[in-house]
Amino acid sequence: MKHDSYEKFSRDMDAALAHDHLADAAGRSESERAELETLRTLAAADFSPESRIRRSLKRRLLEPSRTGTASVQRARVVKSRTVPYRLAVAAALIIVLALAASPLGTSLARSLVGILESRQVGENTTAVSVDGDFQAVPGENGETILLPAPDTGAIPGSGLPESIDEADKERHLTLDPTIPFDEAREMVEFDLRIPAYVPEGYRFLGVVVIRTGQASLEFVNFDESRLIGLLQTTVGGANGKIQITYTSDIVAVDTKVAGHPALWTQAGDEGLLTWEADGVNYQLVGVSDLETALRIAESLP
Amino acid sequence: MTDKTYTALPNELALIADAKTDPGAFAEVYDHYFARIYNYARYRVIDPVAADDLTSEVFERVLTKLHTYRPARGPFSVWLFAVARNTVNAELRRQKLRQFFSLEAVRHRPGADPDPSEVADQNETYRELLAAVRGLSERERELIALKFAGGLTNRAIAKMTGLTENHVAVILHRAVQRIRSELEEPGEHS
Repeated sequence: MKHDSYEKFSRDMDAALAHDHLADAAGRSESERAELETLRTLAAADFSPESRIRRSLKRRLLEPSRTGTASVQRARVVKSRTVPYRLAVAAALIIVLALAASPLGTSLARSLVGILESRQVGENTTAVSVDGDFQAVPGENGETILLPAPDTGAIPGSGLPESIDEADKERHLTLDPTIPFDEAREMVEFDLRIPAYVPEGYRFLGVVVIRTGQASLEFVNFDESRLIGLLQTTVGGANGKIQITYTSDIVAVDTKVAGHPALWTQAGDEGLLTWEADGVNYQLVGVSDLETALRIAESLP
Repeated sequence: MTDKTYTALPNELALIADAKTDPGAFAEVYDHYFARIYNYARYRVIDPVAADDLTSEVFERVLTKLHTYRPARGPFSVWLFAVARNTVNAELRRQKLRQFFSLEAVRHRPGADPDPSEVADQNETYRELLAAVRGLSERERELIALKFAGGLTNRAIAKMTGLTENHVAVILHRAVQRIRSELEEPGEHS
């Protein structure tokens, strides 16, 4: 397609969005008319009547009696053992995010929010700033995590404030849980390792610490559409291995990583390389071919 | 039917300035952009509940970050959709992480998305449209969302995504062709 054609196509798009009938079908080929019709369908599409939060969200965020969101103050840590608190937050966030995906997990997620809301986390005392619908608690690097706040300003032992609308109850946290490698390294109890090689176009995004014996390194490609993950888990103890359900679609290949026995499993263009070394189980996902997976794995220091 | 091209509210900048100290002043802006943000999220994640969650998250972020918006650096709508894009991208990363831990990527063949009939949509045309959009690549879907939900110009999309303006037009054209083919012959091209 020539440059002029793309310009015409772009004009047609903008005309369709403006519901401008200058981009009419007269004088066009059948193919062009069909394309124009598709543009109009896209331009006219409005799914928003299906939204269940339009009014409740507006009420929660913007009504005068609930105007806390835009003026939440950064919380100060009065007395804190920083690392355990960070760990608790990181672990709880991961679990909350995972649990939020299932209806069964909702109540558990609420309980975790309740734990985060409480002033005492073991011996760690954390200042909590309450303002309107939200309370702010400090996250790693001094940023603020917003949690639903009780109307009274008191900190409940668990659960969510009843004032939050039903449709909005499922939402709690908005923090991306990745943290820098050096910080993660201090949080885990094993030698967290980062590969020297990742495929071209990928960059290191951060680490998700699940618990002291388990962390995942994330690498994302430049347009953030693909993710490579390297899960590192201490062998034994409470850190159970992930069970793979084998089906006829999965190809399994025995291989080695730096002399250690390894297993490559692949379904379509998604693969998993798993191996153990020095008391740590490694699971590499997001790579579509064994050669690349091995190159990443063998670049670990 | 609403004109979806970039149209700011007549008093948009004043409302945004007021909203930095009085969130209630944001109500009109919220009404003006809600559908676009929801539609943007819907094109990206398809699922209506996830789209609601993301829409909520976008507006929460917008209100907490409103003080960082500088009118001199560009229209509010471009800033708003940059926040929306970051929010959705972060959620997609989290989704991949969840798949990672549950190994759904291995248990299920890639591309084996839920049946289009599972898409909770009462409207047949929209259901078919979303099913067609679901078949696009992540990048194509993102550009379709920025263009047809956000109403952004190709230039604004190019600036936001780091692509050239011409590349944006090429990708959009390809995506529209694929949607058209899928709408004409459902299932033939997926």
